[in-house]
Amino acid sequence: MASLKALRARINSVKSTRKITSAMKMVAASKLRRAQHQAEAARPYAQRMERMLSVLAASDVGSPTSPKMLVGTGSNRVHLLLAVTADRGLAGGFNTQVGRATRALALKLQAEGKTVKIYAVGRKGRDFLRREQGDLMVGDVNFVGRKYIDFNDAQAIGTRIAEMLEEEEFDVCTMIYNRFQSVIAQVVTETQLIPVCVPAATKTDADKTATDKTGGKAVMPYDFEPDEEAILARLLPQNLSTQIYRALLENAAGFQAAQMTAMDNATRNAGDMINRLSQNYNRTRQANITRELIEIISGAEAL
Amino acid sequence: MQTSLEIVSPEKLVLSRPVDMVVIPGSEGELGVLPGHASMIVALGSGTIRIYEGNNVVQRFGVNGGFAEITPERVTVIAAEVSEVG
Repeated sequence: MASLKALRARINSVKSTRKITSAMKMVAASKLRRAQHQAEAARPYAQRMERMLSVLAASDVGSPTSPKMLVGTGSNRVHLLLAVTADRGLAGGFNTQVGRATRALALKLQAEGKTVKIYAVGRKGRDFLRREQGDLMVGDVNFVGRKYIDFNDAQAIGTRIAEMLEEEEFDVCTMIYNRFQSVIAQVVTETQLIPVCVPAATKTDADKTATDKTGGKAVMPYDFEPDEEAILARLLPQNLSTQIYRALLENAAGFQAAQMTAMDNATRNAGDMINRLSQNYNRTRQANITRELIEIISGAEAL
Repeated sequence: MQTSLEIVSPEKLVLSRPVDMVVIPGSEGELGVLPGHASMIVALGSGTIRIYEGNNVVQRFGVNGGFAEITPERVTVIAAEVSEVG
């Protein structure tokens, strides 16, 4: 049985751990609110962008001069995986999940005889993947020490990827990130960035038919100024950055949520542990007292 | 009759309001949009978006690049860099 002193030290140490985890939980909760707000504020832009893109893509389908970003390079031999993770840990399986999904996808693609390259966004993912598949890593970026992520960060990554595409360093680009579904659920999601998965123009069609019915107006085809190709050439890189931006924001929000949950669990576990240890401590103390009493009494009787 | 104008930046929905007319700086020249304008998608250059109520400019926004989607009922401007000019 552990000595009383050792037990006391143990209880104190768990208590200070609990203080830290509960403070981290609070901090994560307040950061989460901000991150969630930022992610929501970015949604309208992405939606409008998507709508515009579907109109453009619909009118540009089948053109031989379509930009590479829309239709791909024509082969699908080299895959670039963009793994988005957080820069910090202590958030349960948040970063590991993305790391594992990336590794699994890389192995699957390799088994199909494709070449795989990995571009890591976020320090934790970089560390994980460098350990596992360092030879596939072609680049990484992280935001350590940064308070907020803004659009320029996403644009920098987008530009880099566009350059790599221009130099034909890959054919297909897939992004793997944690989608923020709710505070308790972050879902690892794979999104194909290049060639662009054009959102089927269903929504626009629905809009059009709606106006048809209500206004009885003829569906008006869009005019483009300058031409479709020129607009696409400018819109596609923007769209790429926008998708990355969204992933970064969802990742940031998801990270805070995961950390909050993880720290909440840790705090609860520490509480349980303290209870157990305290009980143990009291029992030991009681046993010691009883033993001493017996010693005294039997000593007195012997006299 | 008014057309509804939306200006969105990556960070947020900057503006959403009905307007009488809006002038947007297309890459090939400025473009005044009235309600009922034919549908089109325009790439923007850099310049100012001017919002008219009647004959007066009520708000101005500076943009540098971006796109505008125009339909008879609405105008949507998406721009990476946009800020209100006082």
